[in-house]
Amino acid sequence: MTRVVAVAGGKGGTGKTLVAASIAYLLSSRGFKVLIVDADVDNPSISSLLRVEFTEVKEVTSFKPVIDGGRCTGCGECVRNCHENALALLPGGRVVLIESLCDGCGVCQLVCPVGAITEGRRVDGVVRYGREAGGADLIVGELAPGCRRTAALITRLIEDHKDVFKKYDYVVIDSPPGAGGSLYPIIRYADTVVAVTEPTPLGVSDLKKFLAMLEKYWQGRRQALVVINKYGLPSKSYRELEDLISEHGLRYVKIPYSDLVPASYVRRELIVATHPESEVSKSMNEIIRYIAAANNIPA
Amino acid sequence: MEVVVASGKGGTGKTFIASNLTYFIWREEGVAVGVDADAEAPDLLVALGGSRRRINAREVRESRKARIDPGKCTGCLRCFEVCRFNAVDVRGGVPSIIEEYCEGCGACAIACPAGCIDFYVARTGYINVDESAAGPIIVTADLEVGGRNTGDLVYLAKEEGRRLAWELGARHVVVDAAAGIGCPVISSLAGADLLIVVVEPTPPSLKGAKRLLDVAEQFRLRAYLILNKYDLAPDYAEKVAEELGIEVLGRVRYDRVVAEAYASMEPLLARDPQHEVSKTLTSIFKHLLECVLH
Repeated sequence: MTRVVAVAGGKGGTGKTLVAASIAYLLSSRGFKVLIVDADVDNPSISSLLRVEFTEVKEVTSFKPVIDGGRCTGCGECVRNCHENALALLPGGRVVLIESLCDGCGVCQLVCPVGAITEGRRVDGVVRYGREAGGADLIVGELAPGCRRTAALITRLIEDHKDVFKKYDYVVIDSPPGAGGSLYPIIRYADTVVAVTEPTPLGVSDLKKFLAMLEKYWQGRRQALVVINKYGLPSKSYRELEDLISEHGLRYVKIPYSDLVPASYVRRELIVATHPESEVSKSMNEIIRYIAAANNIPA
Repeated sequence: MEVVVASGKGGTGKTFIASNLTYFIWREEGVAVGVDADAEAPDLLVALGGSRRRINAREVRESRKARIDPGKCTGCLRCFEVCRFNAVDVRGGVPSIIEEYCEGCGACAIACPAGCIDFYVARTGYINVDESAAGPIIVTADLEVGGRNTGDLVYLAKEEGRRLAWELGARHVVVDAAAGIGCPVISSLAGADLLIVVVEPTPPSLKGAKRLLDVAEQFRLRAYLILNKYDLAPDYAEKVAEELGIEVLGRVRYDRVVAEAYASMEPLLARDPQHEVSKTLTSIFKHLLECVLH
């Protein structure tokens, strides 16, 4: 049975990718079949922490209207029904598309009485498939710069591959920061959410919003664990963080602040692999034990 | 002038730079307006000590969502066929709308032969205006938990920021952008005069900044770089600057005082103005105001 673990948490730069890569590595090294999904499509970066060989790239495209000027009668029905105001009727009856506003809903095509709008495609991003050196498989979504459809791309990344998930023991999803609707497809399929935060007032404020979102989406179901990364930084936020976590009935694991972390990023190494006895690695193992216990799997 | 602080990757120090820059402008010019455009995780006000006085809070309701009347639905699933956003769920043979996926485009309602789909308007979020404890006026785009339409909310917050700046006689508006390069960041960049890219010396930060500059180029935005925490990997920091190829405004050292200032919810420039990091920030901001933004 597949267990889906989503690593998220609200604030950016708290260590989501480090946690996702580390737990995927540890699960894989224990013999589980692991799939890593990098769903931070605005800035996918998990492959910079792992040694990855990509084998395949697919474009993700969406609908864009192509107007057949020969058939168009200039009735303006498409313009009136476009909810993004991406179509304009020029004097003289010609319809033009303002592509940057179009969200690809296809309503124009549905309402055109003469079939003058045909199916065009445009590229929202790519999905890369690969395998990392430890044996885990990898699916990475990457938004095309300038494209506004982050949420739609994440939806496609998850919904189009949810049957692929079934082939694995664990699917580890690295999520984008934030607490908006673009996280919904990830939370929808997650059995366990690992919310990574840091002991700053900013970390607290963003975690608050993130946990509120989780309650809304989950309605009390399933499992979440909070990870307080960079533990030990001078801060007055520890008490507030602990209170917030217990208000939501959750537990937390600490990852101590360590100089090893920034250095490992530059060397493109993973601390759990290079320093298995370090405090950081011990914390990562604690996260694994939580995930295994929450999913009734021996770790 | 509208100055946007962005980074591509999260956690490189956008809010650190934006909060101190807004505070610096406030101290130098007596008035400053900041806009928090990170609607999913707004922190600019927090970094400036929180709200001393709520000036205005406005609810924004602009998110149209479809709704299916199960009593009238015949189960033909035309709605499912035409929806391009995976927003029609057909588990159990009866369609229903997944609100989080719905863009409110209306394709389902147009296609439905039974006329059983109508719309309601959901809350997009709030636009809050506060006088921060540190002094500057802060406009915050605060997205409804789990909401979409982040870009729309950012547009409205920036509009409010510009209006306030005009009314108060502030010369500059500082926009603290979200992480990433998607819709809210594009809305932050649109119409701005200047972009400050904040990077840290790591490969993900370099990649994120490159992708951000790809987007900024479409707006012909002047871009400048701040190398934050550069001493964590000084050689790599210089590589980042070289690869990005934009003018470096300054290099900011990583120091525990930054964390301590955050902990006390004060901009570093207010808490510890004589500290070396504060002096670095001051010289960067002076140069920015005198030579770049004048």
